[in-house]
Amino acid sequence: MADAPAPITRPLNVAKDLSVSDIRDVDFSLFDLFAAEMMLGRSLVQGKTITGCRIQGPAVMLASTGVTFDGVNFGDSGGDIRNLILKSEGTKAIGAIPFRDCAFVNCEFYGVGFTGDAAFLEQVRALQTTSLPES
Amino acid sequence: MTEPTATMSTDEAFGRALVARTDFTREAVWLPSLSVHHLNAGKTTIDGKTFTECVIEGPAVVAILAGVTLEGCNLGVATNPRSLLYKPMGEKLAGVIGLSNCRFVNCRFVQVGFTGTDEMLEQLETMLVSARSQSAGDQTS
Repeated sequence: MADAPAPITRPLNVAKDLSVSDIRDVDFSLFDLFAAEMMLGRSLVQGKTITGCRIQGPAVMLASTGVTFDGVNFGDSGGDIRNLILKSEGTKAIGAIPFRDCAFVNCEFYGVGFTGDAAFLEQVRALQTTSLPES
Repeated sequence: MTEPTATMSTDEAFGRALVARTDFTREAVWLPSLSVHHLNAGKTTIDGKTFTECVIEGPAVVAILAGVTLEGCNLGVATNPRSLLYKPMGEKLAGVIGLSNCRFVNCRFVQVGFTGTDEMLEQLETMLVSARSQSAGDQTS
């Protein structure tokens, strides 16, 4: 059985610049990250490495191709990882925030749902359920 | 209207006033912001509001809970209307914005997805398909 990711214990550190490609040890909302990309004329979040960050919702992440998670706490699932997953009924995912070719390393998600293709959803479903540290 | 005080910032006063409002008419409503202000106020859902002729903006996925009505609304544009709908895989929901006891009249939703019970999703799909058929009929007539 895989070990649970180590909790992030550093003090709150609100991100000041989310337009960079290497985002490290800061805290931000998923929507603010998307808004920073939109300000640069992009319609999705692409090519970022996000390390040691606390990432806040409410938002639904669309994990497209090339999105990886390493040592990530997906959030409080209430004991069932399926509570974090939404399946798009169509061929697109309107309202979700799209990510492509991004790496999440040792991050924690708070109030974020996840969607993607069938293979991604199955990978998330297979994850061991973990709990966030008590705040 | 909530006024800023020595202990309350302008942002917090704005947020509290937004949460206290029950009627939104002919304005753009940014759902992520409205939701965060509700969460800051300790409210997990947006409840008891009437939106009339508003543009409801995402990106966001909303959970349609009890007492929500949609009258004459445009729920969004997609080649496949089902792309606006999400089926929860568990019994709870994460990352979505809960709406309860809200009335939407002649509103337009932009970059907003919808989730809820199977029955609610069926109703929404019926609405979306009929609106699309009506729109196609309008264009050909």
